[in-house]
Amino acid sequence: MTETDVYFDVEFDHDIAIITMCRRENKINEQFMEKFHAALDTVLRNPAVKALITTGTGRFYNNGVDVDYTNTLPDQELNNLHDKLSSVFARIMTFPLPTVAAINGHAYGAGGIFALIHDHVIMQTKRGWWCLNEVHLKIQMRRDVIMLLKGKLNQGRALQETVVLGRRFTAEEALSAGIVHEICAPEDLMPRAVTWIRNNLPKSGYDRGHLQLMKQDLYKDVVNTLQGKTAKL
Amino acid sequence: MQVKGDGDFKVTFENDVAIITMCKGENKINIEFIEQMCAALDKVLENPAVKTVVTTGQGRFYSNGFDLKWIAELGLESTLNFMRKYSQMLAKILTFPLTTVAAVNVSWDIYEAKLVALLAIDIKHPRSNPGRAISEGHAYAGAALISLAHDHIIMQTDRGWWCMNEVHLNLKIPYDLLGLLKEKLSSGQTVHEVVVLGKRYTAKEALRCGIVHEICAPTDLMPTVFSWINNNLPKAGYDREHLQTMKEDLYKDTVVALKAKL
Repeated sequence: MTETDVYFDVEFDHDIAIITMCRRENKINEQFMEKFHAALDTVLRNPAVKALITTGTGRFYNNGVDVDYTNTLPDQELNNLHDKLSSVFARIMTFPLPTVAAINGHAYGAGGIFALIHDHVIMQTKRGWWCLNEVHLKIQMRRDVIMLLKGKLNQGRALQETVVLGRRFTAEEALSAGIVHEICAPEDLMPRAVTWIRNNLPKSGYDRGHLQLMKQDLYKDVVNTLQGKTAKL
Repeated sequence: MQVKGDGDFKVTFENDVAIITMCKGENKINIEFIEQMCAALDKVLENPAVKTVVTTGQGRFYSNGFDLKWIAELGLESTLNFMRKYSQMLAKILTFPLTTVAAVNVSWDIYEAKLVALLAIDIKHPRSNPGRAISEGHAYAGAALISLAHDHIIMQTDRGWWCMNEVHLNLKIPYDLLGLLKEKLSSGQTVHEVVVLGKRYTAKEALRCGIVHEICAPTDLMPTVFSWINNNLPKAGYDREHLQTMKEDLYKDTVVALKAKL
């Protein structure tokens, strides 16, 4: 299967924007991140949009950082890449629209973290695992990412299993552990995302600026660290 | 909706349990509320036999939130002073040297409560607009936080919702109050939904999400309180000083923030 040059597809379903990650494993590198920011900008330019859904294609939601590539990078460049990744995390965490992650397949490493920081996370039950595989790849988790995970996962057991043991979770297990908030059959994934939006968010949406401020207030320390305002390691 | 109460906070004792009953009608939070609550708590401590304190409301209301009308009359300095005292009261309850139980005798009525003006007066948020601060809305966030500062929360299931509605009203939740929420709510996702999405919860949902610890029918409220006390606390109680130290240690960052009121 030839790798498409198109990284992201952006479409609008009335007041819902959907960003689909289009490449085979959706592995993260500089180009991915650049184009992701562009996709987010496109979404925000549409004033009618009140919620955002992200999803992948085929067997993968997102398989994390492209380690084959990053293993070739000298330290400084590797650091720069991770700084950029932290900025992506910060942007999604404080996005001025409600965000839903529709996990259609494997969500590994940075891809798993990426899903975790949406406002609502739905995973389908037939395909793929959620896993923070950094420990298996001998990748050190930076302090900003650890802070992020502590903020998002219940302390104690979940943190232990996900980060330290690098355990992989089926959808059902991820639901029990509080990593995802809803599970469903694959064919129901997008309908469920839309239903959640319709049933749980106010009809007129939120004021974008204020929603962003609220997220920034709630995650102040994490966001400051992700954005490099405090030490990362 | 005007509800008349006896006008005071009453302190009664049933063996080793002290009950503070808020009898000021809707028990709206203003400086008098704070002063009476703190005085009642001090009175409870003066009784060496007491091992647990229960707070509850008289009649229909635990507390219907901040006293909008009163706050609207305050200048900036007085408002900030009020908010400081409010945070300090929360810190007092949070680290109280006795076990604390909130017996929430009515749910916050989403359609009747009025809005918090003072939260909008925060210069860190240029987007907040004091001009529109005084409008119909919901103020029960102030009362919700008071109950959250207790060790155990029992809520009756009759009607209404639990909700921190600031995000719907473009209001900021101050940093120290966010700290209390994060400290007391059981999961990051619950905190997220409460704060960012301003989600509303029935008593049953609040129980499921760990916002309250027990629910019961309105008529069962006080019996349920006593049942919990008898079944869960050591008969000899706790050493007061050590209980306070334990709470201060556990909630250290939150307490520091509440007392400093940054």
